[in-house]
Amino acid sequence: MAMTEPAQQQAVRRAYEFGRLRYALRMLWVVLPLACVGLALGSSLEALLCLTTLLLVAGGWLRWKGGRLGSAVLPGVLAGSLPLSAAPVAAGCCAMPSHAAVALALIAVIAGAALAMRARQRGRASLMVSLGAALATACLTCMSNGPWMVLGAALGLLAGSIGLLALRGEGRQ
Amino acid sequence: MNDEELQQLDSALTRLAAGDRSAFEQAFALVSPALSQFVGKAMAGHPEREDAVQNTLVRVFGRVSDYRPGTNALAWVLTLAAFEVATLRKRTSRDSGRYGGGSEALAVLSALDDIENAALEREAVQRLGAVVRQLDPGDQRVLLSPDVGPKAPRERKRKQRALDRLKSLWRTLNGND
Repeated sequence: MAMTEPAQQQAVRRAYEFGRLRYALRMLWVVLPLACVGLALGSSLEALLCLTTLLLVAGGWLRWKGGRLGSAVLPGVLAGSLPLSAAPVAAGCCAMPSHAAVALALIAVIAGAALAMRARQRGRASLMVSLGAALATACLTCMSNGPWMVLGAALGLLAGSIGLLALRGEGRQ
Repeated sequence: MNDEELQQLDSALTRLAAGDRSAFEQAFALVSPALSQFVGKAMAGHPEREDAVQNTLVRVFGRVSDYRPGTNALAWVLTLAAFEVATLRKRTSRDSGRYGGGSEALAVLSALDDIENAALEREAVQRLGAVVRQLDPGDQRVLLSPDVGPKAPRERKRKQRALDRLKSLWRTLNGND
């Protein structure tokens, strides 16, 4: 049966919101495999559940809302997969946890710089969201290797992004 | 849909895809008539035409988050609509056995043909406009002045020369098509 115009518009609006939800939840295909990697590398199940839920709920909500912040989530998760995969290697190669953390920080610098480069025209809030998502993703494996590794990943991401922004600022002057 | 409306549609779909809900009304106002026309042609005489328009609108707006800026907005909308129409017709024909498969496909293809022809015509007019703008102002005036009443041989000659220059410039810029 044919619908009246307002009813039709309402149905279409509902379909649009469902479409946004589907779009937001598509990050499941990235986050769940990364969580499985974390589980395989010995992260605790509770911590993984907490981080994965946090990533999916906060990231999903931002993606559903849209705008610059929404589009900053997935690049953050993807950038975070670099320190995520480097953490077990660094922990295996270095005898001292602090050395492993420094090695991880050096690798995380690349991810931080890449995010800062992407966020140049999108504003600082967008960069903060990306960095948060990257750190949460990196923690999926870093946590199993101790707090030093989490600190190393966080400092590396921050140093990379701040360093690139400072270099760009200097270049402009 | 003219060029301005096409640009508005692209901008509205881009904003909607980025999550800007305030663009919904504008996008709906632009997409709805285009889809009604397309589905109306593709399913002419079909008892479920109205439902098909509704389903197609729901399908298009449900997938608008996948729209990428710079894509031809109308082509994107109509491609989704064509798939939806084909699916609906196939389902109806399976259910009732009243519509032959060949005629259904022909109806959808004919609707797509009409839209393609309109787009080609619009492009040709734009290209001609661009060529005319490159002629000198005198030739432009002669070519664009309306044909009213009998003309003096001199005027006819001038118009003929301007037309020749237009043809030659067209061939230089667009080849022999």
